[in-house]
Amino acid sequence: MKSTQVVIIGGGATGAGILWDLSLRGISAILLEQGDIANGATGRCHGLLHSGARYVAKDLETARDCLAENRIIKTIAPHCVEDIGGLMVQCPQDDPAFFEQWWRAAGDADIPSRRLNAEEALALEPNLAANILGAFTCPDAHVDVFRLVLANIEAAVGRGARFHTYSKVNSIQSADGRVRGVGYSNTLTGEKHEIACEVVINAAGGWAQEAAALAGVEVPVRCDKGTLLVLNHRPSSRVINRCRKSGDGDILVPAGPVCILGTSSMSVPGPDGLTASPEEINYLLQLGAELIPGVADARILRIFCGARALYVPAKVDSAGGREISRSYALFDHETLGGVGGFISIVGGKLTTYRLMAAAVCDCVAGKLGVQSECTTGKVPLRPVDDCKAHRRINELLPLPVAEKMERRLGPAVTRVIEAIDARPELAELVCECEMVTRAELEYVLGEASPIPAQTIADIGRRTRLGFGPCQGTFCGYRAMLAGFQTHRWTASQAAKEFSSYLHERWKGQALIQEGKQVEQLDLSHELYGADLSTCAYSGEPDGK
Amino acid sequence: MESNHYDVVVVGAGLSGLTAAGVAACQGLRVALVATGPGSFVLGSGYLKTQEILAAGPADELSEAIAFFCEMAQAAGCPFEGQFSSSRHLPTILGDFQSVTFAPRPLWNAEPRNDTSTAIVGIRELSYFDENFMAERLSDQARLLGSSCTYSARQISLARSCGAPTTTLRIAKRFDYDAGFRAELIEALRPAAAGFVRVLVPGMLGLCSREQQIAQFESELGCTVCELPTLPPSIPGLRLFHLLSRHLSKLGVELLQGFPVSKLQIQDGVCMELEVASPGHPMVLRGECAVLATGQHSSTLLGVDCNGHDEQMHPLTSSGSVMAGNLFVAGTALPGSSGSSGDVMEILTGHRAGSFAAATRGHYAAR
Amino acid sequence: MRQDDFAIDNCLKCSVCNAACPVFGVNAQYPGPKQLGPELERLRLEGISADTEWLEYCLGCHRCDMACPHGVGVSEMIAHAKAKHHKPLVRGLRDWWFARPGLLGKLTTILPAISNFALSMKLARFFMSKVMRITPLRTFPAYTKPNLRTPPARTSEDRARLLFFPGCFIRYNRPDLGRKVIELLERNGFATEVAATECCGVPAAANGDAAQAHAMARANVKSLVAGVDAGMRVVTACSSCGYMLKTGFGGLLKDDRELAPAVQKIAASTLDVGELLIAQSDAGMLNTDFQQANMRLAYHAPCHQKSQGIGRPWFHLLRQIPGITIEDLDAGCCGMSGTYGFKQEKYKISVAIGQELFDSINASQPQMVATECATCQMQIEHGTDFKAIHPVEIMLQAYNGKII
Ligand SMILES: Cc1cc2nc3c(=O)[nH]c(=O)nc-3n(C[C@H](O)[C@H](O)[C@H](O)COP(=O)(O)OP(=O)(O)OC[C@H]3O[C@@H](n4cnc5c(N)ncnc54)[C@H](O)[C@@H]3O)c2cc1C
Ligand code: SF4
Ligand code: SF4
Repeated sequence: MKSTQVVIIGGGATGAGILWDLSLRGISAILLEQGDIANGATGRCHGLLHSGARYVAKDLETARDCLAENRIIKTIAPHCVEDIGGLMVQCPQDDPAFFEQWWRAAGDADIPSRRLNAEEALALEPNLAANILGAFTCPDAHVDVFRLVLANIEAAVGRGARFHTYSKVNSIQSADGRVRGVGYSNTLTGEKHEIACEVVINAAGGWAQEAAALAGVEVPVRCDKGTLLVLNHRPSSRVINRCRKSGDGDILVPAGPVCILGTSSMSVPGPDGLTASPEEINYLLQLGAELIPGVADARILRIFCGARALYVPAKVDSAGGREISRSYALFDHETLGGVGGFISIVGGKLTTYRLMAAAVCDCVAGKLGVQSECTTGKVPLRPVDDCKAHRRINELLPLPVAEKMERRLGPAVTRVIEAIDARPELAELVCECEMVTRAELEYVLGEASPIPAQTIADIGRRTRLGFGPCQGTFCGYRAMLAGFQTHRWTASQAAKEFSSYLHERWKGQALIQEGKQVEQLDLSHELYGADLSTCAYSGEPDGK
Repeated sequence: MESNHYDVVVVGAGLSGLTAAGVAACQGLRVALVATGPGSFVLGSGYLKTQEILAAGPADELSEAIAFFCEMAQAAGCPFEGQFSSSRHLPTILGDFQSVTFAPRPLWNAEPRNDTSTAIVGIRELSYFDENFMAERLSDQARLLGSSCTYSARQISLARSCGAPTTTLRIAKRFDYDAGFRAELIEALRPAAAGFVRVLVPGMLGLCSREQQIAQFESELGCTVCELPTLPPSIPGLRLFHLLSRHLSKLGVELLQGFPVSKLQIQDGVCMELEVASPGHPMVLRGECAVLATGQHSSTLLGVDCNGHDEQMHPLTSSGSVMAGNLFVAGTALPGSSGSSGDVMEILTGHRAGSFAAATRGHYAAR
Repeated sequence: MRQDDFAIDNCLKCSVCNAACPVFGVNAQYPGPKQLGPELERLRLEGISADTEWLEYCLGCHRCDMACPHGVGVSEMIAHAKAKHHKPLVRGLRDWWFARPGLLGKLTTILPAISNFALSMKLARFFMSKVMRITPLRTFPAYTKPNLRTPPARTSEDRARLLFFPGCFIRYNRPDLGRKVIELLERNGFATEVAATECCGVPAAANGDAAQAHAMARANVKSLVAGVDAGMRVVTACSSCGYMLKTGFGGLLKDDRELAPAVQKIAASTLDVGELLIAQSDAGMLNTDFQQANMRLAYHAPCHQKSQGIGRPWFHLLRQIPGITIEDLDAGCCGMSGTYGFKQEKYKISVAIGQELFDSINASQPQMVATECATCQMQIEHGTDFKAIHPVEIMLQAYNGKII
C-alpha cells in the first residue's frame, strides 16, 4: 500500500495550490482527482483574475485579498495570465450614484484606476455600446485556469509530489478518531487502491459535502450555478465589467482567442448534471449586448455551467477552529469535534486559491509539527524560459504556432523540439484553430509529461485542442488517430473514446439556439451520423 | 431575350438546387443558378443512405427523382451505383459500416465481400487517414456483419511528389492536372496492391476527374480502386459538385457563383425580381419563376412569416396562403418543416420544385 | 462589430476555400485561405503575432470568398494582414515600385523611348533580376505617351455622359485602347469624359502597401465625386479597377466619415463597360450594326471580373456578333495577378497556376483569346502562342467590319 503524509481530495485550483504549497514545505502529498485536472468549478469558471474592482463597493476585505493575489499571481505565474486590464463601464441604465461610490471605494482599496470619459473608453474598446457614459480602468486580467492548475501540479511533481487523475476517493479510513488513509478507485478502469496517510484535505469544491460525509462530518456549503457563454472571437481586448452592483451577465473576459460572457447565479442541489435554460441564455446575451451590441450576433461556440461552492455559515458562533474570511472557510474538523487529521476548505475564488492553500497548509504543518512558512507568493511556478529553445522553436515552426506552444509548454518545449528534430513530420498541425502540432499532442499523451492525458478531452485541457470553432469535430478525430498511432488505444477503443468525446462536445453546443455554431453542429452530426445508428449491429442482410 | 431574364432562377447549389436546375435545363429552359459556394453535401461521401431512402416517402416520386438525378450524374461523368431494391454496407470515417442504397461509383465497391482480401492503402505523409485504424475497424465490423472479408493495411509514400505533410485536397489537385503524378501514384500503389483484388484508398482521386479517368487509372493499376470517406474536405463530394456544375453549364445554365440573393421582390402574388448582392450595386435577375433551394436560409429570404410550403412547394405565409405563384422552395430543413435532412430529401424536393417550376411559365411575360 | 466586416465567425472550417485557391493547388507549402484568413485572424485579434511570409503569396483573386458557402471575407482578411506584414528590404523596395505603376508610368513616359530601351537592356534586366528580384523571363509592357484625352464634345446631340476611369495600364501603356473604349461608347450613344484619376490602388493593395492604396483611394474618390454627384456613371475597362471602385474603396476608407458617402455613391455608379453595354442590349438599345465576322474566340473571365458579380457580360455581348463563335474556357485563374507574376520567387507558382488555362486554350485552338484584364492577356501570351485582346477591341472591329 502506498503511503504519504497528506492526501488531497480534488484537483481544482485549490487542491493544486495545496499540493504545490506542501511540496515547498517538504511535506509529502498525493492529490487524487476523480476526473481530469480542473474538473470542477475551476475548469468551468470565467477565468477572471479579479483585481478586486468587482467587490470593492460591497466587500472591501475580499477586494483587498483579490488585489493582493492578483499581483502575486501575475508575478509567480505570468505564463498563465493575460494581463489585459479591465474596464468598469458606466451604462446609462445604471445608477450614477454607484459610479461615485465605486470610485471612492477603489481609492480606499488602492485599486489603481483611471476615470475615462465615453470617448476615451470607446477609443480603447470601439465595440462598446455607443451610449456608455464612461469607464474606470482596473488591473483585471485573464487567467488560463487549466494552465494554472497544471503549473501548480507540474511544479509540485517536480518536487516529488504525486498526482492521480481519474481517481475518485470513495472511502476514508479512520481509527481512534483520526484519519489513517483513503480508498479510491480509478474511474476509467474501476481498479481500487488505498493510501495510508496522516492528513486528508477535502478540497472537493462543490462535492465537499460528499467528501466530508466519507469522514462522517458535515460542511455547510451550498451549490450555486453559473452559466457561461463562449464567444468565437474577442470583441474587446480588455475585461469588460459593468459598473453596478454585481449582477448577472455583466462580465466579458477575453480568454485566448475566445471571449467568455457570463454569468448567472442560481441555487442548485449539487454540482453534477447542470444545464442552462434557453431563457437564461437569451437573458445573458441580452445583457451582454447592452455592453457590447455586437454580442447579440456573435457566434457562440459553447455554453457551460459551473457550480460555485458557497460557504453558508449556519449559525455564526465563534467555535474554535473555524477561520472565516469574507469568502472562504477552512474547517479543521479535529477542533470542531469531528475526525482528527481531516480538513475542509470551501468557498473562495479562483483568484484567492493561493491564499486558501496557504491557510490550509499552515494548518497541516501545525498538525504535522513541521516548522515552515508559506513561500508560494515568492517562488515562480515555472523557471524562466530558455532562450536557446525559444530560438530553435521559432526556426522549426511558424510564428503563431511557436508562440502558442511556448506559452503552453514553457521549458517542456525542449521535448517537442527534440521530437520535431527527430521526426520533422510532427510539426504538422492537428488542431488548426488553436495551433496544436502533432508533436505537442504526442507529448501530452506520453509518459514524459507530468500528468499524461488519458482521454481526448484531457488533451484539450492541456493544449486547447478542440476548443475552437469545430469543437473537436476535425481535430478530435485527428487526436483519436494520434492516440491509436501511439498505441494508447486499439482501433475500437479509439473509436469508442472519440464517440464519447464527441458526444460531450455536442452537449455543450446543443443549448445554442441559432447562428453558425448550429450549422457547425449539424455538420458534425452529419459527418459522424448522429441520427443514424450505424447499422453494423442491426444485422441487416448485405446487398440483397 | 434579355440577358438577365430567365425561365427559372434557382438559388442555392446544394443537391436540391443542382437537381432543380437540372430538371429545368433538361426541358430546354433558360436557367440561372445563383449560389454562394456549394451546399453542405460536398462535405460528405455522397452516399444516399438506406434509412433516408426509406424515410423519404412516396416511392413513385422518389424513384423518379433519384432516377433523374442518377441520369444527370451519369451524364456529368460522376455516375452513381445502386438500385432501390437493395442496399450494401459501406464504410464510414469511423470505420463502421452504414447501409447505403446509392453511392458514387468510386465509393461503391468498398463493401465487405465474403472471402475477399482487400488492401487499405494509406499514405505516409497523409496523417489524417490511418490505414491500420481502418483495416482493424473494418475487419472487426465485417465480422459482426457475418462477413469473412479481411482488410489488410498497406502504406505508400508520396513524399517525393507531394511533400510532407499533405492533404487529400492537395493530392486530388495534383491528380487532376498532373499526368506525371498519376503515373507515380500508380507505380507507388502497384506493390501495395499486389495480391489483392481491391484496394481502398482515401478519397483523393481528383476534384474533377470523370468516370473515364478513374476507370483508366484502375485499368493501369490492374485492380479495382475504391475510395473511402475522409474528414472534410471530401474529395468525392467536391468532385460531384464540380462535375454537376460543369454539366449544367454545358446544358446552358448560367452559373452565377459568389454572391447571395439578398432580396426578392414579390408583387401581387408574383415574384418579379431577385436581387443578387453584388459589390457596388445589386445585379437584378428576372425569372418567370424562382426556386429557393437554400434550405433553412430560405425563410430569411422570404421574411419572418413564412410558414412551410404547400404540395407544389410554394412557400406559404403565416395565414397559409401562397406567397407567390411562381416561387418554389426546395432542400432540407425547409421553413416550417420538421427539419428532415439528408441528401435524399434534397434530391427529392429539388426534383419536385424543379418540375413544378418548369411547368410554371409566363408569369412575368404576362404582365 | 468591427471585425464582423470579415464575417470571421461564419467560418465552418469546411475547406471549400482551399479547394478553390489556385496557389493552394500548386504549392505544397502554401497554408491556404482557411488558415491565412479566418484561422489566423482569430489569433491576430488575440494579439498573437501571426505574421507569415505566405501572406505575400496570396494572389488576391477572391476565388476563396466566392467559393465560401458561408460568406467569409477570406481574401480581405488576408489583404489586411498582408498590409501589416514585414518584408525584407529588397523585396520591400521592389514592391514599393510595384505598388506605384503610375509613378513608373509618369517617369518613363516623360521619355518613353529611352525608358523602354532601358527596360529591355541587358544590364538593366540583370539588375532587375539579381537585385530587384524581378524575373527576367517576362517582358514589361511598353510605356507610351499618356495622351488619352476627353474627345471634343459633340454639341449636336444630347447624349448620356459617362466618366471613364482609365487606370494605369490604359493611361500609360495603351492609351489607344482607351480611345477605342471611348469610340465604342460613342457608337452606343454615350459621351465619354476621361476622369482625371490616379492609379486605382489595386497594385498597392496587392503589394501590401496600405498607405499608398489609401492615398490612391482618397485621391480617386475626390476626383470622381463631382461627376457622380452630377449623375454621371463611371465606366471602367479594366476589371481590377472596376473591382476596386466597387468594393475596395469602401474597405480602405471605411473609417473616413467625410468620404464614406461619396465612396458609396461611386461604388453604386460604377459599371464595367461590358456591364453597361449588356444593360443597353437588354433594353434593346445596343448598337447592333455589326458586320459579318468569321472568327472562333475563346473567352477567359478574369478573377476580378468574376468578383464583381455581374455574370459574363462580355461573353454574351460577343456572342451577339454574327459569325463569332465563342467558348468560355472556364479554366480558373491565369496566375498572373498583376505584378505577382513578375516577382522572381513567385514566377514558378504563377506559371503553374496558368497551366490549366494554357492547356484549355491549346485544346480549344481559337483564333484569339478575349479577356478584359491586361495582365491576364500578358500571361496568356506568355504561356501560349495565342494572342489575347480586350473584348472592346473585338466589338469595335465588328462595327468596323475588320474581323476576318
Ligand atoms: C460560473 C462560475 C464563474 C466563476 N468565475 C470566477 C472568476 O472569474 N474568477 C474567480 O476568481 N473565481 C470564479 N469562480 C469561482 C471559482 O471557480 C472557484 O472558486 C474555484 O475554481 C474553486 O476551486 P476549487 O479547487 O476549490 O474547486 P473545484 O474546482 O470545484 O475542484 C474540486 C475538485 O474536486 C474533485 N472531487 C470532488 N469529489 C472528489 C472525490 N471524491 N474524489 C476525487 N476528487 C473529487 C472534483 O472533480 C473537482 O475537480 C467562478 C465560479 C463559477 C461557478
Ligand atoms: S472560409 Fe468559408 S470556405 Fe473557407 S473553411 Fe471557412 S467556411 Fe469554409
Ligand atoms: S485570394 Fe486567391 S490566392 Fe489568395 S487565398 Fe484566396 S483563393 Fe488563394
